[in-house]
Amino acid sequence: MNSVIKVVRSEQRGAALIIVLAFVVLFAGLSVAYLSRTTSDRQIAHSSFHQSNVDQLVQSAVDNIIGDLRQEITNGSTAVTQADGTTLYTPTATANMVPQRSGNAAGAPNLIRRSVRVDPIPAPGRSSRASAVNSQDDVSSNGRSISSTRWNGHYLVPKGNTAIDDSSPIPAFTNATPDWVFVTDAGATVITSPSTSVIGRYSYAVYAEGGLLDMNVAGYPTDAVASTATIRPGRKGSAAYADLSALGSTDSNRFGNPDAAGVYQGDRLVGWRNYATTQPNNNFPDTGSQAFAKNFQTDTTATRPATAFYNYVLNNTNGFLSRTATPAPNGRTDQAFIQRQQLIAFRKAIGSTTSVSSNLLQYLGTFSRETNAPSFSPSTPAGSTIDYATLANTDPTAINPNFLLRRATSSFTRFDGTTANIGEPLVKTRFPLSRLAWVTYKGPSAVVYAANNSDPVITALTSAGVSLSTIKAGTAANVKACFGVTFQTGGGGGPGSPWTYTNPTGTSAASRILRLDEVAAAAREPDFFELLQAGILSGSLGQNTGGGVTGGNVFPDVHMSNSAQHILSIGAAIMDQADPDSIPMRIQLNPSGTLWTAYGVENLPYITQMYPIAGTSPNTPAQWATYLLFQLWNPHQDASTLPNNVRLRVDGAIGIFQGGNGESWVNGTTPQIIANGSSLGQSVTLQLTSSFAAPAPLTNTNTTGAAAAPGVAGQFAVLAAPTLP
Amino acid sequence: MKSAIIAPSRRAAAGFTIAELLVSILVVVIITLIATQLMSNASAIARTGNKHFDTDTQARVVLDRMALDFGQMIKRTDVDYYVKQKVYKGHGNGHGCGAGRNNDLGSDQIAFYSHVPAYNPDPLTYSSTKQSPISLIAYRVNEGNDAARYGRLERMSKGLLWNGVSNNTGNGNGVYYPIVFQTGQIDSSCGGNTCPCNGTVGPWANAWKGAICNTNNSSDPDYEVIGPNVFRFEYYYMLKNGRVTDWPWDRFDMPTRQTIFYDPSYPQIKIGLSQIEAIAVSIAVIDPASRTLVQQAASANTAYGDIVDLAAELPDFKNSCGRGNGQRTLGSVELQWKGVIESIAQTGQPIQGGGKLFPPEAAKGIRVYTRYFDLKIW
Repeated sequence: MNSVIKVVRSEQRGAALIIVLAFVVLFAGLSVAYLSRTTSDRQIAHSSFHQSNVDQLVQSAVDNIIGDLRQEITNGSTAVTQADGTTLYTPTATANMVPQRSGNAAGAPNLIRRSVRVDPIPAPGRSSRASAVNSQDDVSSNGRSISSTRWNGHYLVPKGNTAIDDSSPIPAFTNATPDWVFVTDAGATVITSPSTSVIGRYSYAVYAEGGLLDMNVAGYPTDAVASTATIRPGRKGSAAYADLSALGSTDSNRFGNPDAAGVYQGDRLVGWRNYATTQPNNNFPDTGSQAFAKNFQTDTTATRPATAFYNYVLNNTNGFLSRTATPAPNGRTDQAFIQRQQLIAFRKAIGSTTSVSSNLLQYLGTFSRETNAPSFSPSTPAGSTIDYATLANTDPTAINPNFLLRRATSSFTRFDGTTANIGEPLVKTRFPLSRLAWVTYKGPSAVVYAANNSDPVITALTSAGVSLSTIKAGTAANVKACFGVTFQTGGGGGPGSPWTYTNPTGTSAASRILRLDEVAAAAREPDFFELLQAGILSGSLGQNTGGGVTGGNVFPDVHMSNSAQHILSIGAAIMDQADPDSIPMRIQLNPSGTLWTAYGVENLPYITQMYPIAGTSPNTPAQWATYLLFQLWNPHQDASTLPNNVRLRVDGAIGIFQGGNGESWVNGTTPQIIANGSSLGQSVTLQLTSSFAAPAPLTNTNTTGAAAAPGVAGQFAVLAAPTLP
Repeated sequence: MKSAIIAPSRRAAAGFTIAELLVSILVVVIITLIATQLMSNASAIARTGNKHFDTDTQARVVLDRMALDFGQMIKRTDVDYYVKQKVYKGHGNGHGCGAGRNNDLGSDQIAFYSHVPAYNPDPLTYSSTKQSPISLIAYRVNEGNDAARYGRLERMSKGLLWNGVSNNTGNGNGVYYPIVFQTGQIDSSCGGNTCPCNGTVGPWANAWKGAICNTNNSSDPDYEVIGPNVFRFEYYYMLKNGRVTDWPWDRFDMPTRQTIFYDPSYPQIKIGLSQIEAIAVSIAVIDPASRTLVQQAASANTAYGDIVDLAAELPDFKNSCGRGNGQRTLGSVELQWKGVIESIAQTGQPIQGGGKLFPPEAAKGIRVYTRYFDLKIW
């Protein structure tokens, strides 16, 4: 009986156990499923959370670094607050114009700064606040570190081993990788021991790319025509004609064109980059018999790639910031390196360890930027009684101001069509000197072109490299807007007529040239002469001989004392030096009710010496005769043979001899011309073989072609169209 | 002592009393009911949570991918973008001040060049060294007839060869264009929703038409579904002056401008994306079960709309077609979307009514997400 009872009790216990176990299994399953789901979701959420944390930390780090650089600018500058609320910072020392260097490794010129412990950065620089924990050598607890090869992923530091293609840098940098900056709840903080308050860490290096070659510009193609192959690159001046084959002494550090293997690396670069402009044949980046851009080496036609590239460089007006608008027939366009990673990838596509190696990348960049606006502010010359430097920053009406302090005081439309907002720099861009071609002795270039597109003036300009687009932009309106001058038309106008300085908004000859503050008040941009006046120290202008008199035909002392006349003369001389003709520029102004004329200086001989002699008249020995002898001299450094027919007009009496002492006057034979008081307007032509590089009198060997001079006595007369070179 | 031992055995042998059984059954029933209720509630909570997780995960993946693409976007004024602006035609979802149901024309599209990895167009012919690091990236919500892609967010990542590697032209096999530094290839002169525009020139016209079109014949093998649960894609601009607009410039400053490229009204200025501080992307995500519910309802009853119909009920971000009014603010489009979703959840119809019906339960699985992508253009 007892045994029966025990059986029943065991069954009851077993059922209960099964039920309990079932519930346990059920709840365990539910719990596992729940935990599994929440764990995976938690991991995903944490991943996103950590990513956001890192993003925030990186953004803070970048803000810190940039903030330190800005603070460095502020600390090393004199701040001038403008009326519009903006602040201008002028460096207090020349050394402050560039960032201070700190922690930079020897042999890595591009590296200017890194996060470094006990930062020795000189003032006004700001410490990096790095701790004594190195990003490479002090491995973190999870085994992570940043190798110097990884740090040099941009290849801005020279390579340590050029036999391999990776970015391993020179030992000097490997031994000087950045230290960690630890961020706590108090910000970037130097710590000396592990701290639970650390939120994250960062380290950094700053590189200057300003000295690198902009690969969106630099490099030119092979020219199959020998005569232009040397002339065009020889002009220099433009980064486009930087010789990339001269970068290094071996092919690995340059764009050999060709390299030792016969690969035209420079042509591959230009063919890829200036594809639509140069239209290379074959396919990139092939080499050998079907080499990409092989036509560069053989095409000698007038439209060859080298000429197309040359014209592209000449006609570029946007600083190479955008590509040419016209695609190639196959729809492809010119290309640009958009960022450094792309440049590195391109190098990898065409280079190897022996030609265009990765070590070359330390010299190359993808951009070059500078403010295309003048930041000129005068300094005070030693001994000057005028403190230009102080006046420039303090005098609101200074003739020579700090350009940065001259701001637009009202809104207006600039010449390029953009709007000048109040507070912007009045002079926002440099004055393009290509506009000098607009002012010709026959009038505005566009007007001359419209009248005759093969006018010798136009032909001379295009032969000198001026593009037609530039010539056609030289309308009367544009010339007035940019130079403030108008050309007389009708009446006494025509070729050889003088220009009149009115300023861009004037209607008649101006009496003076406005200051930049007056220009700002007039709500417009300054013209060429106003810029000249602002840039040339006022005390050096309008110098006279000490208070002499003037009037009639007296030596023009008053003219010399007029600074506006002086500025116009300087401007006219600049124009004359730029233009291809030999006709001096004349610009009129009206300082006090009478028109004055300022003259430019061409590359021509000028009267340099005059001296009188007296003695017995050769024709009438009983009479005394006085002669005024003079010499001509071309003071220009490049004075060679005269470029064109230059005639010397004489209103008066003159005799020209063979030269030398002891010559006698034989009327009608020895002298080339005799112009006496009744024969006004005689002229001779200076011989083309004469240069007058040294002062010389007129003789019958350096003159020819005596003839009546054109024009009216005492007035300027233009010569016939010059013979083109 | 003996009786003490025997007594329990007797009770056991006698079995349970009726009262004991009833109490036990009652307890079991109560426990079962409680457990059932608990499980039901937990299941409901878990289901809602799971939906949330599903949409969260989906949104995170999509928006993170967009962050990479936008971050590496080629930002220049001499390259083309296919972005929402005053003139934004060429595909079935033209945007602007046009007409359409509720004046809303569905999801946006965007295409641009970016410095991100992409598929090699022809790896058998062209080695990896001949593929440039620049790619053509595009986003759209597929509206073709491909059921596997219908109403899902797609991303195109078209790898581009280096310039000059392939010089073939046209639209056949072996035609691979590099990045083209030329704007205006998306012709703004054609009207309607023709895609691509008849006058369109360049690779957009044929080889890349998938980047700007969204029709059945604009499939492109480089399109892949990146957001299978994302059914609505809208973006707008936060300008540098703080305004929020559907045109990438301030219409107060340039009221007659038509496009970010060359514009006769402003011949001196090609603005590109230079006026933009950030692009705001709003997406609507639906969990898979709710999507299935919507599609099944639409299949069973034509009175019910499908997933694209549902997307169309979420209003476009659009400023007023003129100056001075209709200015939008941050979050306004998301607010509108949530209003529509709530309306569907409560009534089975969007706010406007009169259109398609949608299962209210499906609305509970819809979430709206927005992220701002700073273009970092100074």
